[in-house]
Amino acid sequence: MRYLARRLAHALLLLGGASVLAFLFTALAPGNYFDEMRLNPQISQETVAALKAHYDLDKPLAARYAVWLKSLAHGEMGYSFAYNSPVAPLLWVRVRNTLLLTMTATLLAWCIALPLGVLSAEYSGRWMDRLVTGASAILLVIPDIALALGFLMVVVRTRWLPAGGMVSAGAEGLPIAAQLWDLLRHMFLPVAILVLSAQPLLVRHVRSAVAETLGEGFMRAAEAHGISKKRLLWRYALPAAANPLISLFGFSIGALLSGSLLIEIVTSWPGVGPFLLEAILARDLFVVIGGVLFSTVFLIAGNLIADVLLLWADPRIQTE
Amino acid sequence: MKILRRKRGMLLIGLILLHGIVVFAGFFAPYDPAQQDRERPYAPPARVHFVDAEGKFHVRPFAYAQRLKEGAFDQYEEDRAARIELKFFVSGTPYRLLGIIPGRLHLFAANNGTVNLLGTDGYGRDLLSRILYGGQISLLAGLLAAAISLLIGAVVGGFSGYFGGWTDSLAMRFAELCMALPWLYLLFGVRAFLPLLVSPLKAFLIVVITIGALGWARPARLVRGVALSAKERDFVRAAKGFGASHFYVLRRHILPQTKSVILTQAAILIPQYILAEVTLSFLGLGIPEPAPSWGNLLSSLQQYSVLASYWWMYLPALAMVPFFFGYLALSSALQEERRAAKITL
Amino acid sequence: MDALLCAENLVKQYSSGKIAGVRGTVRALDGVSLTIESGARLAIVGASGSGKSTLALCLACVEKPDSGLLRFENRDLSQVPSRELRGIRPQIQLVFQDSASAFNPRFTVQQVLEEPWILQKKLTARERRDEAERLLLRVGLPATFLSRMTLEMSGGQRQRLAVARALALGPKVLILDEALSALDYSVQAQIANLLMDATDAAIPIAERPAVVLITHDFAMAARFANEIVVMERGRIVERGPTKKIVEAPEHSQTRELLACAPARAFGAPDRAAF
Repeated sequence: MRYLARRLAHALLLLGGASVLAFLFTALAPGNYFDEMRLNPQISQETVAALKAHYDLDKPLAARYAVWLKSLAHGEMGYSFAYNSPVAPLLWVRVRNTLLLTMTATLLAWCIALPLGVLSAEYSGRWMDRLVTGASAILLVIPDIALALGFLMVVVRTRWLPAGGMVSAGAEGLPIAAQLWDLLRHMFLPVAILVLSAQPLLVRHVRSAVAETLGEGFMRAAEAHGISKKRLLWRYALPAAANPLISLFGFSIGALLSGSLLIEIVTSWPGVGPFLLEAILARDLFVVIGGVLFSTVFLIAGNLIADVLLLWADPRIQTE
Repeated sequence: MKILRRKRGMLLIGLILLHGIVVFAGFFAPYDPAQQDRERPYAPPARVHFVDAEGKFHVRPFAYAQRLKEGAFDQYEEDRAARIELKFFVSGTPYRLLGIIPGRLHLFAANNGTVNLLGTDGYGRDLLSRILYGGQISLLAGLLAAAISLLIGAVVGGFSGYFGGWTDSLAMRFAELCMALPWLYLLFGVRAFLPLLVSPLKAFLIVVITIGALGWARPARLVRGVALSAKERDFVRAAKGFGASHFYVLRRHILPQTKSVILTQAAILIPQYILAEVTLSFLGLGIPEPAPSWGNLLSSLQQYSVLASYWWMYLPALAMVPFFFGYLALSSALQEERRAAKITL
Repeated sequence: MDALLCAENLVKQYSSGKIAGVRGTVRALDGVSLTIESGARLAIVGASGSGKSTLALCLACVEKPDSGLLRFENRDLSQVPSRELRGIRPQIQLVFQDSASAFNPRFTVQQVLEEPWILQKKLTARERRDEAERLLLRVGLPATFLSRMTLEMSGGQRQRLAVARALALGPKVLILDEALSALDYSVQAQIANLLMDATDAAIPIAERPAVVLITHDFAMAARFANEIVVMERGRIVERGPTKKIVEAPEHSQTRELLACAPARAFGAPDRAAF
């Protein structure tokens, strides 16, 4: 229990440090947004002055950070200059969209990789293993940008699926089932790309973790007891191989918000990725900080969850 | 062990040859990558024939000249009347190897007309040549950035692990922090907050330094681990007993032990960084036009029309694949070697 | 014979992590005073955990004691500036038990033996190589070993190499910390003979190093040393000439250790007749 408390405190400290870093960084960046904002005719001078005063952009760094922290405690994350609205609601929508994509993809990827990896380790050296390892190797060397663009090209030319975006125009008026179907059709491409690009690494790790446990003594003992092969694999080998896999799972969780950046941009999925890129190019400071911090939270949370799961799964760790 | 070393050696040679093709882009590329031909935008890849329209076989491969179809502005057809022969090892447009050594010899060239084996882009520039020259920039960016990361990582990790103390704790906490931030976002952020509209050379340097500097943390952690365990070894104690200075110990005993870790990291980082440059350039945050880079060669694909009609513009994406395969195989071979070495010790 | 290396009231403790949930400290050295004279043959015996190795590390200036004084040739080593210390440390050499990590795995034997001279910045390359060869022969290894990798050698050969390296700069004190314990009995004998030759009374005292043999093997200690020091739990519990210790031990620990040693003729130290 104390271990967990320590890890939690550590994670919070890390998050704090990350926020400072992010803030420092955007504060050091050249080009104050308000200079550009002043040129924007849509925003009145009073708004600019009021915002500037509210966010105390004239005050020193530490004060600004404190103000921002305080607003964070209220659930606000600053103001998006580009969208002329508070950051938090904007970001929430995007985060939701991204999570929809990545959670589906992560679930699918693991559901596919686990059996593939386990069976591959079990039938090591035979045709199934060779096929899986070969396919993994091929996928591994194709960078995700090539995968994404390639699939997009195929989709565009064959018109099987919508070429990007999240919903079709005018979909709001349709019945729920049709809306859902429309959403699924849009999701298919980015999810497929995400799953395929995650496969090789996942399968490889599952395979090597299981292969290692298969060779251990207790497995042979269990086999000698006459336990069925299927049971051996799934109820004996896999749990024993859990440790490295749990850490890997932690990584998967950590990447939920940051791993789909490029694919969202390529497939025009309205998630955190394109939003952040826009904000970065437009020097929309608070959006950038908010987005980066959100992803950092996930990264750190992923590690923490992995630690918790490890603790629960492997009693040996508790005594260390 | 010897087999593994031979395997590693062969992979290394293969990789060097692959890189050689890109280094000698001037020789392998038929045209100047900046040479535009506004009359032939988005021309499809030329088809190479050995048998002509009358069924006659030619030893020398050839292609037909492409001309715009009647009434179309982006559809081409072969002009069966105009045969363009491909000659090998000919003198063609002048180029400079590595920017210094002038040369005129090309692997192949067309004698009377233009043959674009991989088609042309929107400005009529030969895609094959642009891919080859683009490789120079993308590969060099990856290699240099990896060198920077490894250098910073080795120095920080080495000093940190060897001297320990609070500087070590500080450095490692900072490394942990850097690793907790999402790398790609950080990369985009840092790059975008630096001036964007700069010359290709400046952009190249900015990109390389950004990618390299942001990736120092993991190599530093690994090198630190090696330094930490190495400094406790008896031969370090013995050397100190003979009056060795810290500098001597670091140079002679500790750093050589980090060699294998650094090499494995290099094999992992280089493809990662090449991809980073490609992604940045693709999104307009990397090397700008007119300098070719695999990334900005792909950026035209962001337009729907290009995606739909000009499939050959996708080919630069595949150029990375053989290189990634080489680096991946190399890093596997290195890992296998490390494992085997541990067993024999 | 004058005092070469003097330890006065050395104390060193280590925090030992958690034992049954309580953080404890271990007093490895609890007020140890020892005098080593030039050309002496001293053995320090004790059970595991008695502090022998810690004493060796402190004497060789590898570790700093928490309190106490260490004097070399009548100079307080804690007061000596570090630059001078660099010249003093080579005179007190330590040979470890585990020869496997005693050498840089990438070094050849020649590199190992030349290193001391390179560090001291003396001798030309040719002179260094000749010295290396001489050292090899002195410890009974053939000159052909110069080009070998240390990993290719057997345990006994490596220990001999370690002794050779330790002797390279002509140290005044040579400390062997259980250096023979991991070796075969016959190999132990060979190296013990080697040490005896190096400390033979016939050699002028200027070239004869004082040898401190740290061991838990009483028989070996008795054969080799003129004087024996017995340690228990960080303290010296008995010391004296070998003959006296062997024939009339006073402390219980001494008696225990004697009892564990194989019953062999404990003659006065002489050439080990194995």
